[in-house]
Amino acid sequence: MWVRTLLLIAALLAATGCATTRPWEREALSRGVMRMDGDAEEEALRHHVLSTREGTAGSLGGGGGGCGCN
Amino acid sequence: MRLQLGSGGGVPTPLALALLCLAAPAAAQPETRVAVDALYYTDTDNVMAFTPSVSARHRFEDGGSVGARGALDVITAASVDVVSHATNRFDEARTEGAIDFAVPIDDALFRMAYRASWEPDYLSNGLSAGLQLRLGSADSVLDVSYGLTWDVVGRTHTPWSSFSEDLFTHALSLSLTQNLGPETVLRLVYSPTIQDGYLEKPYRYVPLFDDTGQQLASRVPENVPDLRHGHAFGARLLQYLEPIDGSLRVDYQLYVDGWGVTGHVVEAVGLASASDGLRFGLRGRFYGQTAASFWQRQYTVPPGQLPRWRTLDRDLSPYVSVTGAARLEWNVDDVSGYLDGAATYTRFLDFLLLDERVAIVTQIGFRWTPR
Repeated sequence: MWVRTLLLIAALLAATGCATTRPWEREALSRGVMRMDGDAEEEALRHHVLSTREGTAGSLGGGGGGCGCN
Repeated sequence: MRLQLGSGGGVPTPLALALLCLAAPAAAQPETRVAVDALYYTDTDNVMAFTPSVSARHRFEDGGSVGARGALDVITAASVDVVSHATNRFDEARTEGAIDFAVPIDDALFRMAYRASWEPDYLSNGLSAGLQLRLGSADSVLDVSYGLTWDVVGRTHTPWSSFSEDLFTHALSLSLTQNLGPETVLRLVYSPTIQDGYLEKPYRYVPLFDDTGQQLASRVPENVPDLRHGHAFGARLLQYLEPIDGSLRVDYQLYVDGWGVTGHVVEAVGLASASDGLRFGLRGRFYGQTAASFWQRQYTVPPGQLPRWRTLDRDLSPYVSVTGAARLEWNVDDVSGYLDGAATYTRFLDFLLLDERVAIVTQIGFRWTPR
């Protein structure tokens, strides 16, 4: 049941994959203030505190986003 | 390769769309970076922690990377739940080490990480693997990861052979990051977790009360179910703000689990550029959760009987907290850094030993990236 649900979610997510910006439209997305994920080392320390102070706090980490520069 | 939806005949399946969208990740300049961070935590419940960490990372031209990190946690605690067990205070040090690497494989980026931490009464090993996939362009990125953590819980001044319990945590994460336009990015995340094993703390003894409200002479060890399923659903929206060359990020996360706990997190982060190498930021965060189904402020029992599930864990009680924070980021030649200060007020709504807590967290970090 869970496997089927996850596959369905993955398929729906994959279906949304589409281009919304052209390379020359990604100047703002490449700015330093537009990092979707914070600095990994800084976030590791911060989440260590959150995990001990908030009972259900997780992470909204993921991958990619923005200009796709690296 | 880009995919424009809505043209052409027929209705492609989601899988076909995903395959059509595959494109190679962009190449990056090789880069080596050394990072030093330190965090200081103190609160009105007499807990203090100091955590320095150092790490190094090298990114290869093909998008792969290797990294290593070491951290030390020095904790001094005389919190109310510690002193309520007739212990004045404890001082403890935790050491953590981690390594990770990422390798591009065709159109995807595969990564693995291993982390180990040890302290006198707790050992933890975590192994995780993840796959990041561009769905056609940098506009859509799918990320799937799985992590397994194996913790061994012991007791201070007690040999591991006399007392040790295992706890296994399985964590899956599925996220989609989508550029909604030239200035807007959205991420959706689903993270189920399973914890299986010893979820108590060996130092927690629960006070019991009779029906007149009098506390009974003896306390009993905490006892909670050995299995906990959790589901976290999150969304993150990031918007560029051109007038201040800044951004606004808003997060929301809903958490539900099999113990009856529901948690909400709302966080907003604003960043503004003062110049090329100087940025300011403000952060606000709200956290709130309901109690576990078996949580009780006072466990009232008939003589000679015990409640099957009983706990003194604040994280299973209902509470709310609000955080306000400010930060400064700078960048001068090869060195960048940040200073972040936060204050958190927590209100415990149904906890016998503590009503409120104020915590101060200060964090500073430096990055050296030789060019």
